[in-house]
Formats: sequence, structure tokens, C-alpha cells
Amino acid sequence: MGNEFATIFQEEAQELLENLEQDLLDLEDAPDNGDIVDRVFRTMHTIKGSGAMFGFTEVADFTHHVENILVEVREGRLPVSRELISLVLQSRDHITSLITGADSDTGAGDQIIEKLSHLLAASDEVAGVDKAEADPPPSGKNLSIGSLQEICSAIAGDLFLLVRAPDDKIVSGQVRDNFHLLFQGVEQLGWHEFAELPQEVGRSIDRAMSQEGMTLPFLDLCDGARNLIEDVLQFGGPPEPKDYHDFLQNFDNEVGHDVDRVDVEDGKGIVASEEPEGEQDRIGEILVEQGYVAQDILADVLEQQKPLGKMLVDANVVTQDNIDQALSEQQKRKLIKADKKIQPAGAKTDSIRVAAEKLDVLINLVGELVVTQARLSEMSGVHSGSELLESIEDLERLTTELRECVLSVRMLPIGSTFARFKRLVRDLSNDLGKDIQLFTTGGETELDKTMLDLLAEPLVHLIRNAVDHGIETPAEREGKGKAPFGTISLGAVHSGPHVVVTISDDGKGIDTETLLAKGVALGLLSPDTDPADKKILDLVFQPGMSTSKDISTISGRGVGMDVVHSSIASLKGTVAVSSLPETGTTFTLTLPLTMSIIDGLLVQAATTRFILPLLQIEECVELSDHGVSRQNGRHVYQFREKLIPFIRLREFYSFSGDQPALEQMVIVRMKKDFLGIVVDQVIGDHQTVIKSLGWVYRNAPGLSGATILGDGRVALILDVAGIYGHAMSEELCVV
Amino acid sequence: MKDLDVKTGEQFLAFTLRDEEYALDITKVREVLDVTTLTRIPRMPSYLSGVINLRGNVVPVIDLGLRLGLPPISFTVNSCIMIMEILVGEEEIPVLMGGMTDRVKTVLDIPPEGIEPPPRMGINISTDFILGMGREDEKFLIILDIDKVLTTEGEALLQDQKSGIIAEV
Repeated sequence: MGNEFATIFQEEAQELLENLEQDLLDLEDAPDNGDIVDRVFRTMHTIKGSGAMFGFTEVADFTHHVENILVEVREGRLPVSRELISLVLQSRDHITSLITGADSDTGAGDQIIEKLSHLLAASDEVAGVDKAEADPPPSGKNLSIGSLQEICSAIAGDLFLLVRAPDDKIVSGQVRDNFHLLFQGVEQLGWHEFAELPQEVGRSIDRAMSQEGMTLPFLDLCDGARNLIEDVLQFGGPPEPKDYHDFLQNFDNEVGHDVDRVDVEDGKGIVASEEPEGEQDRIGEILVEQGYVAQDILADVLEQQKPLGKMLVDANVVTQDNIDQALSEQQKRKLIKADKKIQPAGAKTDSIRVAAEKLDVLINLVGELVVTQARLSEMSGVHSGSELLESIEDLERLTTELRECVLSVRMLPIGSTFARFKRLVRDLSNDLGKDIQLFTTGGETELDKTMLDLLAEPLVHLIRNAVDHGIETPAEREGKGKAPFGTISLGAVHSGPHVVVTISDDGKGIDTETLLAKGVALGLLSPDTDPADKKILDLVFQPGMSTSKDISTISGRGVGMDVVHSSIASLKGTVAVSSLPETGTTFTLTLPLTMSIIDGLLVQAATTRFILPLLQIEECVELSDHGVSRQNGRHVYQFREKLIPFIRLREFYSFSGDQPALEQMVIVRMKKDFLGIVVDQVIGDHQTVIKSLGWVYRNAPGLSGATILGDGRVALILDVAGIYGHAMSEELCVV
Repeated sequence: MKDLDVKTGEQFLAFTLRDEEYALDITKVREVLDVTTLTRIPRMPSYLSGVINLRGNVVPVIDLGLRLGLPPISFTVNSCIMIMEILVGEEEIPVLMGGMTDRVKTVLDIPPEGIEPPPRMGINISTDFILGMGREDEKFLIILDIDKVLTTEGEALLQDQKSGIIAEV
């Protein structure tokens, strides 16, 4: 098997495993939901089957054990318990590590297997029985087409195993049973004629097992049969007899088994026939030859056999158009059949998988296009001409549309990230002996992929904190008259150009008094601060707070909060916190939708041009002398009843030269604070394509990136929060 | 812009800093540019000259003279920027970086036996940055370990810088 296939399998398996986790957690909430059990079972089955097929035998073997226990659940012999879910979740994690190769520790797997078999033994009816050998062929009640397709992939996997170990009776038995299941399933679908195929194959395997064993050509035939069944299942309707009779006949000939069935010929010929597998005559023809049946009688019988499509049209179930479409679809599928083995069963291709790098390249190209377009627009001011202007306006519109379209491709729903937290909350609360429900809303809210990836870590911090420190133990909660189970809500919603993510808990809230005391001790707050002041809560984001042990144990907050703060800041977002004692705490993250192109304001200080993110800008004013005053040697500016600290970019960056007589001040907002940034000149709006400053400048103070202007010059993107932090530490302004 | 034809083999690009002759492995060099508009990044070490716009990409440029403890490159008609691709960090991410020199001279073929270990004395720069001494006719060129020049020590310098940043800790 090529490496490429293994990679495809890994990717797909991981997707499956993610869904599996979600399903398992859902199942825990709704233990009686048979659909979920079926889905879980099918997923495991697919992983097992394709795992074996692509050489992940360890995965296949392990999954087999898990599957055994799921069979018990599906058959209703084993109830869905918390323990069971935990175990299957652990198994899922183990499979993940087996697939990614992250962990080759087989001990962990053995342990899980042992626990699984304990659980199996505990279920009364099947104590200690090895399923694969002792079970009668499982009864196939309610087999959907989907699950039959899963069975097909399982067969494929098992056959692959058999090629290497043809004498493995257990696997052979599985294949036989699976064909038996297929037979039952196909029967249920009402395709009685077609059901002969899996039945026949199942019987032959049985015979082969007791006699000559599973030879390679025989395995090949079984695989052919499976392939055919898979095709038929994918088509989703009973096949034309002609499509498989040739095969069946060939199969029978090969395994040396007599056929006693009357062949039927599709007289209408609206389905293009497949290449016959061999030169065998049809049973009908042989019967005529031997004189058992007269030619005209045979023709009569055949006449009665209408093609399926015709019958459906007659029954007014579908229209002729539908049939024609389906037929051309059938034709198409035959053509792509050669690729069938790589394709997972039931893969629906209304979406395509694209490497993230390709998207990055696309984004870069669009970025360059935006730059070029900006240059053109600038030039159009010089060379006026209505025709030119018109085309440039068109180009501008198209560029904007293209930009939005490309950016939307990178947008992913935040729900996939939320799903991970369900597991986190479950495991953490189990460990801590707490009972916590996680509710999520707005999972469909879309965010840039890069943003999503970077958002996961701060969210984990916040949720851990809520579980660990926010929510009380059930006993404590009852003592306070609260519901014994705690609640954490995770929500996301679009709000203008932002996405607002909130994490709330109904725990004990932040102990502001202790926090205040700590703040005073560190000299960050004055002792007469009103205990209700919001500033106190903001202290949780101070680095000093997080390292201090007594704070985190008494107030129950602060672990890693500064990390949350800085990583959200690096995403150009903001964090706010609100808390009420005994009612709970809410963290609100406000994030920009995307990080690759932003709207900015172009300003200039000395000869250097800077971009300020437009979203953070509150207002632009002229810096007039009478508003300026100094407090303790720092600049402040009287702005509408408020004193705002400000810094001069010239001073901050020690630019040489004289400042102009009239300076401009851009007032930016960070959370609740304002900061004035004084520049020489405000140039105007600029659609900013964010570029990295490069590796050597990754820590450049107060800068978050660069962009290229229409004239080819580089402008630097200011990191407002970074400047604020520097200014504070350098005492250039008052906090 | 002078594009260089990169061939396989023991090829080096010879350039001068002040009056001394240096060389570096030509496979590292993507292209050589005339000095264009540099945008200085404030509050960074002086050997970091700034960034340039390289066909829509922002590429940082290092003054190789200052970097090696020599006087800065003076801008003349001959001074140029060598755009190099180097690998940084543990993940070895390829990044583009420019190195400013006084003059780029020629491409040299130097067989491995023509390269000698760096002398302990007699040159003004740290031997850490030197791969070896290449012999070209009667002259010796200093072959730079350009990855080290551009990254290793630079990172340490940047870390010093970083410890002063409170907001990011």
C-alpha cells in the first residue's frame, strides 16, 4: 500500500474519530438513542475495515475488541453506562494515537482491552465468550444501506488480512458472517434476486473453510463480489440482474459449484451492459439448447421481467427524467469504478479536501492583487480618464468580492472547536468529582481557520479555570441552595466585524476582596479603591496574579489568565471579565473575523508610515496645547471630561527631527481604556494586507506586522496593546 | 537586479565587506538586488537595517558589516543586498533574509580540498561565524557560515531585547 493511501486513511480516520467523540458524548446524554449506537458502531467498523486494508493492523485488531463490546450495546445486552462511555472514549484516544503513531505504547491498549473484556464479562449473557468464534452469524435487523456499506469495507479489510494469513479461521468466519449480514440486508431491501450473490459467496466461504482453505484466487473472487455489492449499494437501488449474473456465474464456475437458478435477460437494453466476465452461456440459453424450455416460452418469461426503472415509472414513484438521470449516473459510476478501492464507502463529494498551504498561497495572491489594485487606484487620480476610471472601479469591486470569497473559504465553524471542550469538561469534572454540564450555542459561527487554531488554547485555559475553580462541588452547591450540577455555557456570535465568544459559569465568582488586597499589596491599586470597581477584576490578567499561589487557591482564579490575555491580544482581540459573587463569572472574548486583511488607518510619524487597526480607533483629533497637561512627568490629554494618557510615536521610537506645529492624535481603545497616539499626519483609510515582519523582527516592540503601500513602500502595523504595555512600563504615560 | 545562475557543485559567491573578501555557499543565495528603499524598524539592534518590499513580500535586511562587528556598509553604487533563504528554528522553517554588502564580486569554484580551517588569529571576526578559508589563486577568502551569522547569535541578541519587554512575558 502506498504511503499516500495511508495518509488519506489517517486524515479520514481522524475526522471519523472526531465525530466519534461527539457521538459518544451525545450518547452519554441520551443512552437510549439507538441511532447514535449504530453510528458509533459503524464508525468503529469503518476504522477497523479500512485500517486493515491500509496496513494499520494494530488499529484493526484493537478496534475489533471495541467493536465486540459495541455489538453487545447495540443488541441491548449491555446498558450504556458512564463507565462504558469512558472506556470507549479511552479506546478512541488509543486508536488516535495508534493512527498518528504518536504513541506506540501497546500496554495502554492491552489495559483498555482488559477493561473492555471485564465489562463484557459483567454483562450476564455473554460472559467470557469469544465473539468471533462462538457467535452465530449476527442477525441483521434494520440494516440500512449505510451500514451495509460499512460491512463491505469491513470485508475489504478482512480480505486484506486473509491475503497475508489465509488460514485465519476467525477472520474467515468474520468475512462469512459479514456476507451473511449482507445477504440479510439485501433481502430486507427487497432485492431478493440480488441477495443470492452474498448468500452464495457466504456459502462458498463456509465450504472453502472446511475444505481447501482460502486460496488467493478465491479471495480475489470474494473481493470482486464485495466490490460489486458495494457498487450496487452506492447506486442505492436493486441492480439489473444482468449486472451481476455474469459475475455470479463466473464465481460459481470458479469455485466449482453448480448453479440451479434461471437466468433472466434484460430485454429492454436501456442499461449498457458491462463487459462479460467470461464466455459462459446463460442458463436460459443452455436450458433452451437442452430442450427443457422452448425459446418462445423463455422469451415470454423474460418479457415479464421489466427493468426496474420502467416498473418504478409505471408505479408513479419516479418520473422518466429521474430514471434517465439515475441511469447516466449509473453509467458514470461504472466508469469510476476502477478507483473504487481507494474510495471509502459512502463518501459524498459535495466538499473537497484542500491542503491548507494552497489556501495560504491563494490568500497571498489575493493580498498582492489588493496591493496592486490600490496602486492602480492611486494612479487613476493622476491619469484621469473616464474609461480608465471605470475599469479601475470595476477592478476594485471585483477585487473586493474576490477577497471576501477567498477569505470565506478559510472560514470554519467554531463548533468543531467547541466539540473538543465537551470532552474536556467531562473528563475534568469526573476527575474533580464535580457534576458539570457544558452548553454550547452558536457553534455554526464562522471564524478564520488560523484564528480558530490559535483560539483553542486560551479557551482551554478559561474552561479549565471555570471547571477547576469556578464551579463548586455538588455538596457545596447544595449548601448554597444551587442546583447540584454546575453549568458552563460556551457561546459564539457574530457582532459586526467581530466574533464574540463568551464563557460563563454559574460558580462562586471571583473573590474581589482578596484580589483587591493583592492588587494593593503589589501597588497596582490604591487602598481606597471601591470594591465594586471593574479595575479589580481586570487584575486577573496581570502576570503577577497568576503565579501567586494563595490568590489562585483563595480567589480561585488567575492560573494562566495572563496567557489568555496575551494570546487573545496577539489575535488582535480583547478579553473582558465580569463576575458576581455566588452567581458566576463570564469571560467575553472579542475577536476580529480574520487576520490576513484588515481595515486600517494610515498615519505618518517622521518619515515612517504606520497602520493602526481601524477597529480599535475611537476618534482622531488635533492635539491642541490647552488640553495637554502633565501628571508626574507623563502626558495626559483632556478629552471630553476625561483625561487620556497619550504618547508621541516620535518619542516612543526616538525619531530624529522636529515635530510639526500641528500634531494629530489618534485615540485608540483597548477594552475600557483609551490611549492617545500622537502622529505627524493622518493620511487615511487603507485596506491592509497583513504581512509578517519576518523572523528577526518577530519581537519588534509595538509592531505586529507590516504591509505594502500602493507606492511600494512598507508601512508598519502598530500593535496598540503592545505600545500601551511598553508605554506603561516606560512610564511615558499615566495608566 | 542581477539574477544568479545557481549550479550544483562547490560554488561560492564572493563579496566584500570593507576591503576584506568573503564568500558564502551559493545555494543559500536566491538573488542579488541593488539597495532599494529600506524601512527601518525602530527600537531594534542597529545591525538590523530594516525591511524591504521584495515583489510584495516583506523581507528583513541585515547589515553584514555591523553584524560581524565591522563598520556599517556605506551606500555606494556597488552596495547590494543578497537575498538568502535560510532555515530558522527547530522546525527549520525556510525564511528569506537580506544581507547587505559593499560589493558582490563573482561566483567561484572552490573544491573541498581548497578550503582550510579558519586561523586562530589574524582576522577581525569571531571564528564561530566562519566555515573555513577558501584559497583563490594566492588570496584567501573568509567563507561565512551564513546560517549562523543570520540566526544563532542574532537570536541571543533578540532574546536580550525581549527580556526588556514586559507586556509580552
